[in-house]
Amino acid sequence: MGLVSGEKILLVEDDDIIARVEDWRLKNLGYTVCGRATNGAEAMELMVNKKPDIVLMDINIKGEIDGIETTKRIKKIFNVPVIYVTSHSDGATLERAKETKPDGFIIKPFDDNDLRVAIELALRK
Amino acid sequence: MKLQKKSLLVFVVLLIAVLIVISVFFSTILLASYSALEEQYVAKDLNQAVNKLNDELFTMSSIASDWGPWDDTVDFVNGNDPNYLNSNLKPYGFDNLNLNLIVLTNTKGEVLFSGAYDLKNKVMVPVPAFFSGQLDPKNPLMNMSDPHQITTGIVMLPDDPMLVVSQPIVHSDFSGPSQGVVIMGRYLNKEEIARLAELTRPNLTFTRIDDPALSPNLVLRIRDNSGSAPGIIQQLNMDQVAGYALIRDIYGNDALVLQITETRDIYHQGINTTVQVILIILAGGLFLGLLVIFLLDRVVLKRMASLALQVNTIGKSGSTRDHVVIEGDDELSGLATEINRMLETIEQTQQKVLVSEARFRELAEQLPLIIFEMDTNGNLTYVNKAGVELFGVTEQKILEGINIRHYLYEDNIEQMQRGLSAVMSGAKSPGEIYSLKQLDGNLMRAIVSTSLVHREGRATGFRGIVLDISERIRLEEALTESEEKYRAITENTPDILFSTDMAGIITYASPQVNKYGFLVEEVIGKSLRIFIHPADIDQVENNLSRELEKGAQFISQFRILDKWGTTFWFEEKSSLRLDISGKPVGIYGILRDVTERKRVEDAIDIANKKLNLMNQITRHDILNTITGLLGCVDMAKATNSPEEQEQLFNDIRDLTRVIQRHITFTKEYQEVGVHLPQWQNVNNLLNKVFQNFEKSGIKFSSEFETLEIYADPLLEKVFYNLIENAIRYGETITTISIYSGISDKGLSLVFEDDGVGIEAGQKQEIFKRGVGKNTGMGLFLTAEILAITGITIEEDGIFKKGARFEIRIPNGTWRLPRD
Repeated sequence: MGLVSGEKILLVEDDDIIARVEDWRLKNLGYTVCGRATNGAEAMELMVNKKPDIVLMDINIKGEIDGIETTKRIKKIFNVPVIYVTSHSDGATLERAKETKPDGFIIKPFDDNDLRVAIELALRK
Repeated sequence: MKLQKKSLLVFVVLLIAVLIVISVFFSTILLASYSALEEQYVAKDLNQAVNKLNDELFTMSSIASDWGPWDDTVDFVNGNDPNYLNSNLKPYGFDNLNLNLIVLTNTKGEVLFSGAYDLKNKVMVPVPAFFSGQLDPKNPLMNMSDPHQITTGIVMLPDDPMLVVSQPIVHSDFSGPSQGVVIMGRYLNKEEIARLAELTRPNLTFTRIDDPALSPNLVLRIRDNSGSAPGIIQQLNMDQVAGYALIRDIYGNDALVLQITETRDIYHQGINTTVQVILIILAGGLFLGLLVIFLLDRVVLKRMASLALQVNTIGKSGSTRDHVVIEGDDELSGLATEINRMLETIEQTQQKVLVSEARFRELAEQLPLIIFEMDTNGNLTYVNKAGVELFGVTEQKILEGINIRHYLYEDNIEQMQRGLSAVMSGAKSPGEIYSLKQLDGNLMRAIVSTSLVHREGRATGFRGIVLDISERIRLEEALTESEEKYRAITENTPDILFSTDMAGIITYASPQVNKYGFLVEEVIGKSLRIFIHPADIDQVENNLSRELEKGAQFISQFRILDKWGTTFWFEEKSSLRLDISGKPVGIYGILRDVTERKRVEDAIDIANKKLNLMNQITRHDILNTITGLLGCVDMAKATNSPEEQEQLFNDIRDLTRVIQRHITFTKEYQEVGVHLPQWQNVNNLLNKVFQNFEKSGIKFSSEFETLEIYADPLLEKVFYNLIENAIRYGETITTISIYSGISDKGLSLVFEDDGVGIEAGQKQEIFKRGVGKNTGMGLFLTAEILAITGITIEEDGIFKKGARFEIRIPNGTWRLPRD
């Protein structure tokens, strides 16, 4: 633990429990969670305000736009890695997600190692 | 006859006629004038003769007037002068006085003296008996009423008439009464007449009125004319003319006819004059006539003959290019100019006719139609190129004589005869179909139309057109066969074949519509629109419009309600029907009943949907929950705080229950759409559901007619969910009312409570999966169940006043059941 140097991570997750788990795991790994958004609009706002180094994006968030669409918008404006956190593995969703050229996928359920590897890989790109 | 000769003849005849007329006219007038003049002169001479006679009587009256009013005579008569006679009435006295008779009477008429003297022989002769003895006092000679009045006249004696005068005897001074009369007479005998004739005219005669030598007609005329001017004039012959006057005696009786006869010198002069005039006229007319003829000939006739000859030459040669030449500046030269203009026009017209004839001949030869002509017996006289090629009717055959019957089949000959008879009588040829034998032996089916040919006002034959319709008939037969084939196919296929016009009005429907309760006649003429489910109309029309613009075949799926209201799904495949110019005139289409397929598709769709949902649930929701669960486990392991651990274990238990509920939902959801929708009695279902909530303390009110809804068999679950949600989330709820309403779109079934209601922002959200305090699946399932048969649900209550769920059931999926 403590292999990372406190990069700021923005969580975009509408499920409270998963958000709590993610938060706990990321802190254990030494990352800083600079904010949590439950929908796309909140995510864009926090991108501007918190200026995270990386974003963990749940594909299936509620609201007018889902996680994939939110990622598209982030990618247009910010040069910040985005990692999808999802339980979907159906081809159509994956194809949509790939088009946004994400920086990684984390499949639920995940553990600390899954998180660390994905984040490190994304930050090194 | 030439015009010149004709003109000459006419002129001569006219001249002669004119001369004759003039001659007759003149002769009549002139001779009449001369005759009248002659009559005047003769009348004058006649008058003169009569006057001469009267003059003689007057002379005698003068003599008597010397003797009558004389005292001596009075004395004698009274017997007082006995020497009177010796002194006065000697024979030489008669001679001197040129008298044949002297008689003296008294007032009683007694002859006191009478003496008669023969002037020729100069001796005294016996006194005529008329004057002997006593004269009747009524005798006109005894008139003594006026002593101044002398009675004169003629007495008709047996030998000769006598001119007599009678003077009353009175005193010389005419005083006193008459004492008698003195009568003097002179015979009107030959000598006297001769003497009178010398004084008047040479031919003077007196004839007794009763002389048979006198013509009775003449006597009649003389008597008729006796009242007017003196007598009548009569032309005796070409040389003599006579005048006649009637002489009466003293008694007033017709006694003598005085006749004078003269030569007709005046008349002869008239004749001479007339002849001279006629001769002058004749000569003048002849001269004038010859002059006129000469001038006419030179100025008109010769030029006209020249013109006629030139025109004749042109007519014979037929060359309208030649022109006539007539010199001068008059009507003839003008006529020549007009003739030349006419020749030019004829030339131009001929050229046009030739060009037109050539054009139409070429046209006739080039036409694919057969054109022919024949006489009234059916012998062909002309056939165009097409006819020659197809039927071999060459010029040679025509010359040899070929009848049209040769090309007809036996059963068409009578038809042809009837047709030609009709045309002959003035009817229009209807264009009948005939079977003709071609040169190659093939049969040609053709429409033959004929018309009458007239030449010089009479029908000389027929002209006709033969239109080969063999191919058309073949195509028609093929079409009929094809139609029958396709009719058999369309009537035996389970699909409904139809066609509409561009307005969507059905123009054809195959009998398969019967299966859905409609007769073909009920459907044709109606818009396809009225059969389509109302909810699908917009989609169908939009699709149609879009595809029509592309011009492609279009496919559409929609529902149709049968006659009894049952919904069927149909797949329509249609394409545009275009006319010859490529303009769309309608749509051909096939309606395939895909209800079963749709049900299967819907079932597959639902199954897919459920699979996806379950996929979501299993992969996302459950995995999400497991993620949280594992996280809680890791957190519990990592913490040393017992309180934190207990909280985390509680969270783990809750998360596990969530997983359980997800799995329970999948079981329930699995049932949705598995069974076919069916008609369900709403009232019965509600009563059943109400039973589950008898102890809830909620008052239920349902006021509507018995109603059936076509829905998934889980409809009861819908009602259950709605009521359960109302109780679970209503908080202050006491009453749930269920009622219905009908609109043009369908039926609304409303669940209304008096609870807290639902916030505005949640009205759509509550129907999404995962929303809500419980599983979050209740209203999602409700909407899914209703959606199987197109029923929708929405919440439109007022927050804090109560929730109002309106289930909208489209027409076709609800009904009021018959008892």
